[in-house]
Amino acid sequence: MNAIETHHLTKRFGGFTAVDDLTFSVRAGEIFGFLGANGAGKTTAMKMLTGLAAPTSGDATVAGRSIRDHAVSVKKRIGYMSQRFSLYEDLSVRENLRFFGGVYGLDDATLADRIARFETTYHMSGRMHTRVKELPLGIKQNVAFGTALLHQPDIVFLDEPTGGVDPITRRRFWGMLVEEAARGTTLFVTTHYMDEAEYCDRIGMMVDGKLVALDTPARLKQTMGVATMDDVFVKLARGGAA
Amino acid sequence: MRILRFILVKEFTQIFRDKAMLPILFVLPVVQLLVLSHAAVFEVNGLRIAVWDQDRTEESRRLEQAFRANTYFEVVEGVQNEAAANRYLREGRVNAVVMIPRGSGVVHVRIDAVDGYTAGIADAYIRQVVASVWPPAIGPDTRIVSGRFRFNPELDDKRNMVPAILVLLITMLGAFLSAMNIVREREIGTMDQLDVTPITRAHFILGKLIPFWLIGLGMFGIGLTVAWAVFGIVSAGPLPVLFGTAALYLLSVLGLGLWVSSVSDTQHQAMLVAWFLLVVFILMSGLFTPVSSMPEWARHIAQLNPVKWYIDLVRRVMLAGAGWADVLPSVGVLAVFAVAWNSLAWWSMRR
Amino acid sequence: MNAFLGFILKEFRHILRDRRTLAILFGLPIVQLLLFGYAIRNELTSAEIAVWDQARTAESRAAIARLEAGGYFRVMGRVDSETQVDHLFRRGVVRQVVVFPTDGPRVHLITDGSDPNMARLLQRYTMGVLSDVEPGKDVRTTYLYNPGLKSANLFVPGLMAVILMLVSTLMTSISLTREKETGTLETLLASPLAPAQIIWGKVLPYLLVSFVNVGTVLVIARAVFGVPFNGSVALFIFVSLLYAFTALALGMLISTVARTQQTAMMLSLGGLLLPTILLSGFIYPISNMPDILQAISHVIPARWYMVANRAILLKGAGLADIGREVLILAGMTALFLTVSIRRFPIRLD
Repeated sequence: MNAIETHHLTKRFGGFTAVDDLTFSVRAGEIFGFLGANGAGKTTAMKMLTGLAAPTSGDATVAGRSIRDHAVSVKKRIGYMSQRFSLYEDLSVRENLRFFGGVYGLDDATLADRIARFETTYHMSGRMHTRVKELPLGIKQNVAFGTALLHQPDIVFLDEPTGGVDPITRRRFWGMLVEEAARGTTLFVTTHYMDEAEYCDRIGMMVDGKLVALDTPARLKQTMGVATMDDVFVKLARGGAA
Repeated sequence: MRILRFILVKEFTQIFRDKAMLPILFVLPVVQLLVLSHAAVFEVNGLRIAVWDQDRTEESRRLEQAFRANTYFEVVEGVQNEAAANRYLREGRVNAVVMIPRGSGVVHVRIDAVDGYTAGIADAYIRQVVASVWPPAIGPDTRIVSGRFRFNPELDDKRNMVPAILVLLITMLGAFLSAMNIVREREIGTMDQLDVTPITRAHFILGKLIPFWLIGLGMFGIGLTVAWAVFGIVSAGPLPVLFGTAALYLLSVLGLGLWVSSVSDTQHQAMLVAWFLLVVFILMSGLFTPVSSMPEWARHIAQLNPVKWYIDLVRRVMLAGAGWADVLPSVGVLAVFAVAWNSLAWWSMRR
Repeated sequence: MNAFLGFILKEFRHILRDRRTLAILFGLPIVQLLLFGYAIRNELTSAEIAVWDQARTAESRAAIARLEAGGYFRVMGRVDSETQVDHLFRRGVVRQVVVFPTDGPRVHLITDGSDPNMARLLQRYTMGVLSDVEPGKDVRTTYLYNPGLKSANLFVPGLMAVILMLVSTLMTSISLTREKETGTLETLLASPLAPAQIIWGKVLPYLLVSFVNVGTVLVIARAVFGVPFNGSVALFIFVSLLYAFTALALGMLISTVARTQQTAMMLSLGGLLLPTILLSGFIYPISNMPDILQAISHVIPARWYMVANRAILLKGAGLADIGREVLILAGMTALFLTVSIRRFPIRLD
């Protein structure tokens, strides 16, 4: 079964086509890397899939529901983590968790249970009452990820989740993503780090609003005849096709 | 409902977490209420006048004595020539110079009319004093006008100002807080995160409205308590009318604030727009100068001013003892404002 | 020095780039002065009253006709009982009832005292229209500086003070706070600019914006409201700029104290708006206030500016006449700037 399917998904702003006739699918439980240069249309596509923006034409099903007709029920099934770690900085970790868990409709018992599990999973005991703004960046990132997972969504969208983080923390973070995917959660990730792209099961590459490549990292390197994902990226972004 | 509960908990936690905001929310208004209510004194007294007596007759000296004896006036010495009279007036050392020329049947009064209102009052008082020395000839056909004041017989300005300033304070509190709130979430980036959650527009707006609404009502209650405890002002009309209408009024002010917030790009813009609206509302509320004195087009604009309606309503309830039946038309207008502005906020909320 | 100039240029670009905010900063004073210049009046016009004609004589009818004709009053209707009077007052339909009793030429006024200001105006004007009583000696009054007792001549200079104060404070009050919130303050602190340079660099560009505002309010006051201009234009502009500078410095002070934009705004708006309107002498004469309030009013910059600008415009005062006010405003500005520089965060906390 596919977690995400798009059909001719298009978004235009005036005369400019940001996302041009996008059709692809993401399998349940896979880590899907969504790559592209800045301005290639990744963010706009992601905004449509998460219900932040309405498509100009075309449609997509996310977690089995149309984003056109069931925006709210789609939202209940997805999690979202952006590069800005949009947690409330003036609230504590626990208060953020309670708020986001609550608005996703978790009941009190479940919420308490999930928060307790969060505390052990992310080694946060003793830090649950700390305000988010006082946490180091790496920890903030974990908290943001844990918050996005709290309501156990089918799919989590991660928009450049590791921006500004050191390599060790990034590697640890990707370890968490791989574990989570193994549990069956679909992860849809955008990134600019090509070493991270290697962790993905499959890669979709956007150039000028169009999807120009879609395959596993190994096969992409093979078809393009290059050694690293970096080279794949540069070659595709400059106008080559896979 | 559950979602709303979590939103409310979050909003309240954020409001009460900001230690710098708490005194601004609760102390600043009370201090302003205590201090500013004393400022509005239209009752003119302590008028400084100089008497320049050229006549030096017994009658003219009686006039000077009458001025000295009158508590409205403070007689300033040293004006015995034209140059001094002009200098004292220009430098603002006296409000008026009363000159009694030699042997004539007139009294010349020169008044500093920079403040036209005070000047008019000063003229009337001076005439009264003159009339006490040279009584008017009253025949059987002289029309004498006498008057009394209902609801506030002593014309105590504080009984009017305390409730009115309280209204202004809860208006500013509600409008500024709500105007800056949504745009703030947008500026710090949490808006996007909320957008991907199942929170609906109704949840979101209610979650923003309710905390400020309760804080506004709480402030109103505190203010009324201060009015009673410090100023001894008790409402002549029923309290449920006061609180019921305050609830409705706050709803309209908050709706306006949310609307401003949802159409602004930055907190700075939201603040400037909110400030503009509030200054217009406050200065055109009829509190400082009568609405009926405005030119006709301005009177029409004033009809759109919720502060004007509500100050008038509170005044009638607290001083004239008006009940629900008396204030019903104003309540209707406030309800229209509340519905209109909240609807505008609803439509313009970019989600 | 080059770094400083560069910084000022950067600040300028910020201001000029945000067109929407710039339009608001320039547009607000114009709209407000025009609106309030017309709307804020203390002369009575078309005040709602009712008459209670018990006498029903030719005389009382003539008196009612005089009330209707003057333009001061609008006779909304007739009443014939005390309960009706109360009813009309409670609903706010009329503010005064003029009673013509059956016994002779007396007239009695029942005035709604819940708005004391309005009540006084009503009785004073009604007595002026209807009363025949004059002192036994001819009193001839000359009104100096404002012969027509036009309230525009009083309120327009006052409005200039209120509007310039608030607009200028708003401009700077969030300048630093905003940089704190967006994180750009860090870059500023890392630069070789001294705190004093940063503060000056933030204030000076806005002084130019204020200069434009001073010019527009002056033109409007003169051309639209015909406020007399008896003093020197140069002196007026100098004093107005000094005053705008005081307000900008006060805004700066607020922005060094506040941590968030929200706090800064609540302070500069919630804390300044009413005191500036009420304690500056704009509407209520300061001499009427209790002593404590008169003392408090000394710290309100608008109070000093209002004295100075009314003196220049209406009385034709020169620099010597308003020396005290100018010194006080200059002193306040220096104080606000010094404290801002002292309180300026040298490092992030």
